[in-house]
Amino acid sequence: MATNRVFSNEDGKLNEFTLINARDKLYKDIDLSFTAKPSGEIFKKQDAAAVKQAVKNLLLTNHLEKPFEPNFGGNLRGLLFELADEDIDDEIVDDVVYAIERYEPRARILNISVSETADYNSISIKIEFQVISTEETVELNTTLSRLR
Amino acid sequence: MATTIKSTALDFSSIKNNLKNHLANQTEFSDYNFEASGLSNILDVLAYNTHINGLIANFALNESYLNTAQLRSSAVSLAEGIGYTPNTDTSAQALVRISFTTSTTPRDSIISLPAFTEFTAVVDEITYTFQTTQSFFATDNGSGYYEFLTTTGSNLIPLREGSRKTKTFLAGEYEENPVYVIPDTKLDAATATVNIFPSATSTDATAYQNINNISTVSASTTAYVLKESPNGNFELSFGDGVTFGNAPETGSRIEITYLSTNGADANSASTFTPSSSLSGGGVTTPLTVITSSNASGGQAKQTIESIRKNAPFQYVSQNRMVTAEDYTALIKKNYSTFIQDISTWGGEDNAEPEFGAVYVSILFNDNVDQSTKDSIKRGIVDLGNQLAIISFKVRFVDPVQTFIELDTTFQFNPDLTDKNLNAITNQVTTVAANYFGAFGLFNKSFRRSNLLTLVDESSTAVLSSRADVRIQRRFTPTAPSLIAVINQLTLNSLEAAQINNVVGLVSKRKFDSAASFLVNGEYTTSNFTDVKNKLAATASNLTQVIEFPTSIASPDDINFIIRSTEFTLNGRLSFLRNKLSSNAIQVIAANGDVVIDNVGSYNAGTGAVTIDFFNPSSIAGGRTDIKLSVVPSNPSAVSPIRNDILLFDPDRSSTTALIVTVDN
Repeated sequence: MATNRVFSNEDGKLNEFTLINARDKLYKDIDLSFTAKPSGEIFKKQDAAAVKQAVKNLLLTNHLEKPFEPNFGGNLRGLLFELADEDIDDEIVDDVVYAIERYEPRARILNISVSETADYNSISIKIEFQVISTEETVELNTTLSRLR
Repeated sequence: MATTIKSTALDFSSIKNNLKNHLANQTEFSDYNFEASGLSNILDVLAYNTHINGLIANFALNESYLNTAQLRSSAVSLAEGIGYTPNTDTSAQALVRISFTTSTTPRDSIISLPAFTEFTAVVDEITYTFQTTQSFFATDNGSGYYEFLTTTGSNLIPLREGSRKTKTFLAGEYEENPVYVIPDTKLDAATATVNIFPSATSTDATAYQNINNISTVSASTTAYVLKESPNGNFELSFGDGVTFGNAPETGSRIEITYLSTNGADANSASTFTPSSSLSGGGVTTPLTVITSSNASGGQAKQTIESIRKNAPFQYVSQNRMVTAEDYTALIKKNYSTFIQDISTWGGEDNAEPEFGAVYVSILFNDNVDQSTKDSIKRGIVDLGNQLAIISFKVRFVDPVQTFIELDTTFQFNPDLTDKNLNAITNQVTTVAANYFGAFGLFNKSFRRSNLLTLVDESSTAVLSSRADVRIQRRFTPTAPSLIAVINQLTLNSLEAAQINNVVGLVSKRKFDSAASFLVNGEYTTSNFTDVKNKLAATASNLTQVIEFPTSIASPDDINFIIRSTEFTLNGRLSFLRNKLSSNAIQVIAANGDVVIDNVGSYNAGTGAVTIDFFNPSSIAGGRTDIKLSVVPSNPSAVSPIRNDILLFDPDRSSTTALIVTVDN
């Protein structure tokens, strides 16, 4: 819970600002699936689930998609027509690390593994990261494959 | 705490921050600060939408006002709303004499030069086409020599640059009151002629006038409207046939002919070659073309800034020439390509009032020659005849240059700068010269305090400054009318020294001696009495009055108020100076001797200096005029009036540094 602390006028009326205790921090995000509850409200994502959704959202966003943030995103689609050679794994890892370190401060990457299944024109990425505030470890699997 | 979403921000990040501030007041969601969060993505969409809507509203409002419109199409449209038609591309115009000689017989005694006869000229290795825009006629002088003349009898034929284009439309073919589109962005509206033929095949046309050139409109007025469309092309339209001018009847043929021009690119074209021989009237002959004035006046379409500046003035004038400002607005509108600046005033404001006259002083662009200037002045008089509600006489006066001389002195502390004395002195001199950089136009006042502020700010080592100000006019101590009379009497047979002798005698009012010299020397065929009378008649013009734009300081018992540059008179280097404590002006030799005790006087109150004629044999510096400097009664500010233009004379100015060691 947010705690309101009162400060004097001499201290610049800091009480007008809400100070949030790090221990109280709770990540609460909207569920991008927009699934409705029976009451009509949409679901929320909290804590690790919120961070996991954000990381997935980040990785699946390409450069220039987000307004006024041209470098935001994992830009994995930029690798679409790259050759499936041994360097592609390193490139994907670099892109993922860069994106998460820059845009998702709530997550600390523990491990990333990339596995190609060239015969199916598909790449699977497994990201293991830790939610910094709760030290909870989360694993995110995502697969990039051709649609047709 | 009340939640407020600021709605004034246009910037994307500001809008998004506003939304985040709004979200900070609730506890339902907390991840709005993380760019990858779902909430942040939704904020992006909201902020982007608000941003775009805000920008569109901002653009739309900006484009709705003449002062803020950024698009040319908006400025043109808004200007039209207040009755102002922006200038189109303007073709360069040259004046030439066109003639030919033929011995062919039989031949017509009057031969015409058809409209749109083509000539070519080269500028920067690019060939441009020049054309006549109307017919001209030449009459045989009896020996086969023909020279083409304008309807006013002038032999200066205007040629305009551009390629001739004709567009034909059939009226009523599509709908009522149509707008006829002319897909040409380089149309010169001044060259457009619009003819309406009653049928598709008729050759009997009615010429329509541009609505800008007429002052009243009725149902039968044969006028057309030619205006720029939003895409830069042009649109031709006519009246409605009810109240706003005649409408071409259904089935009639509309023909517009104009020049599509290259604007300023063809300026300075000087040699014009006929594209073909003249054929007609029984002769086929090459034309002889002599350039009287090079091509000038070509200009691109009026810029947005120019429209912004001129349209409101034109609106105030209502396309009628009544007040002096109306003359300024309409002359600028019609001749802006030739004019650098213009000043107009009513004759009642003159030093000697003349009621019922408008005075116009025009500072022409440098590349406009005398023939073109005369042509423009005639055009202005015609414009006045068309648009003046009351009949005014239009008087043209040339701009008069008044120069400012400055003796600037400043205190300089060398400890406060790395620069030496010369460098700082040069810096101060440059500051003064730069201050006058914007001068040279009408209504630019000199204010000493402004200049000294700049001098003081030019360096931390300049502690203080002062400036002695003089104003200077230049005059030529000759009597052109007298010399013209002498040349006329003697058929230009006298040498300069002999003319000087006669001029000297006349200036001393010795008309008998002057007439005797000419008659007895058999330099003239006129008789003595005639010569004497003619010389005496010019004597009244021998006194020059130099009117300064401001009052002059009263005579002083220590300082001289008036002083001129040097000249040689009677073999002695001399200059003009006023007597101490007196308004009288003397000619003083370099050694201080008085050469002529009273050669004129000055009126401190009116600023008029009267100089009687004197005849120097030469003027110092190889000049043809004498610089006459006076101390103004108020040296703090000099404001030019009417046709005065202030300039700086660096040759008669000085900068002096006084070295001091104090630093406060």
